[in-house]
Amino acid sequence: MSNKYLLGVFHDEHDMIHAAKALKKSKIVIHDIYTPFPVHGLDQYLDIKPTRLPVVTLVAGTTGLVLALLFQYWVSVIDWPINVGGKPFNSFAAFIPVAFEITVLFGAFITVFAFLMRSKLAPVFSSGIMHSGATQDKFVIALAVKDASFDTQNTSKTLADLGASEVSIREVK
Amino acid sequence: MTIYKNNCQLNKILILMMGLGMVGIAGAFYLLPIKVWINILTANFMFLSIGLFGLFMLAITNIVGASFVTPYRKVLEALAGTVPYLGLSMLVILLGSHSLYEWTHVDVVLKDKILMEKAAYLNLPFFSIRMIICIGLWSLMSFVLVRKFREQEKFPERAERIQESLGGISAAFLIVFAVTYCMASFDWIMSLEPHWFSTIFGVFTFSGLVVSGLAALILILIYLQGLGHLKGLNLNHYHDLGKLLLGFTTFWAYIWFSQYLLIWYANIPEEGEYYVLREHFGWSWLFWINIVLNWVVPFFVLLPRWTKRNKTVLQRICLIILLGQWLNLYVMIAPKVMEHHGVMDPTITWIELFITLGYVGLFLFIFFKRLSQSSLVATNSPFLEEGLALEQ
Repeated sequence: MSNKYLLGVFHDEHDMIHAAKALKKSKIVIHDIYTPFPVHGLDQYLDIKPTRLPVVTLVAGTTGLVLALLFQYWVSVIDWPINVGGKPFNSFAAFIPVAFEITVLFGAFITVFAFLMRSKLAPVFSSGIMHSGATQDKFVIALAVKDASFDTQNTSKTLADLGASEVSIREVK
Repeated sequence: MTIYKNNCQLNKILILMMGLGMVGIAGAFYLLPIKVWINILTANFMFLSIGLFGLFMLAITNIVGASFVTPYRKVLEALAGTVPYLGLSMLVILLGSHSLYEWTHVDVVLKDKILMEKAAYLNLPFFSIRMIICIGLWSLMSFVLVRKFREQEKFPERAERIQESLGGISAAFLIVFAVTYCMASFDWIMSLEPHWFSTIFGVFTFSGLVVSGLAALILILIYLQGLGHLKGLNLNHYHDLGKLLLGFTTFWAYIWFSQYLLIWYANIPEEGEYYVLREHFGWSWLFWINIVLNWVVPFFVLLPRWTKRNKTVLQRICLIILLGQWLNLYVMIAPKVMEHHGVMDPTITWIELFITLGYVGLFLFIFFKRLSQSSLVATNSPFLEEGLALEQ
């Protein structure tokens, strides 16, 4: 699989949405769209698999919950039982606030780190920026140039017709 | 179809339900009279709260200029329109005040040092005055809001200015509402146990108001769309309401637990009696089912994205939540009143079912009457277009 992409750069958000709609209609698969800010309603034109991030959050949160409950049980029942106002050592109600906090802490942190890892956003990764304009004020539609059967010339023309101010090819490592 | 026409067949069913309610009341008077007042208080408070939810939602969306409710704003208006009627029927509990409220018995109060000190606040004349003031203020707001919206529909040239003027009224109402709703729940429900107190009680009943109101709203929207109305609503609107429902059921659980944990931890007899009575003496099964229905089930069901975008799932979960919210109020009200009367009957029987169905009938009858009085589209609202184009 090659890493060549055909980029269509748009000045205007609405032109870009219109172009994405038209591309979808003519059965051209869009690799991804890069925008400087979140644009609503783009998902339907991109055939991207749904994110698995919620699963990470669920697993992380559950881990936090179980660990917090086990730790509190170990502390207050096994290792150092203290009689507080005659309440049982294993007082589930008293464990809930801490368990809740640890659940949120695990869930939030691990989700953020998993997101940074997967989208290669940490300083240790070198992420190929498709088009520097997409980090400022341009909207970039990227189409994967898979093989020789991809009609680069015609597709470039289509993009330009749809309002792309610049059409270029970019290779990413 | 932009106008909801009163449906004769539905009205017949609703009137039949009200009839069942009367049968339930009569049956309860014959079998166990105290159940009449317990059930009237529970059901009336619940449906009054659902009506107030309409008012609350309109007020808060007016202030923040939210457009996501505008496509079904008329439904919220009709909900708010039920407030004066259900408020009026709430006054019925004044007739049963001697059965419900221990502090209305002078001989009991005279023997009780705590009740003697609270007598300046907890006495029947002042109680009635507060009740009338609360209901009066809510009804007034309901009239004012609905009138302003009607004006907006009639005069397109003044629409923007009316929308702006609504902000101030709504903000004032929210302040009044916070105080009066808190006071009402203190008076009507917390004073059933005059020794007991919980400062978070008003927040707790408020969380119930939002949860039951959202559930009722979603059910009504699905029903109306099934009849072919509200064509502009799409799954994104349901998704938003589902997200709010998920959030507020969790908020409800959070407040429930906040009240429980502090009382359990402090372990003061005066406060603890509330939970001792409910966790033992046969009430425990209802007490725990309450949490399962109101939080455990809705939380796990509403967590994934697709369930919030599926009307069938939403419909079922809303029914479960409404059932749970009724049970929540029942567990708040019934145990202590029964204890005062030397009865311990922690069961749900046909009496509860019939009286509550009667109130469902009454509520929906008024609601659909109000809904049929004007168009279903919030014409001239500056937010309508934006609200209809809602995207995720």
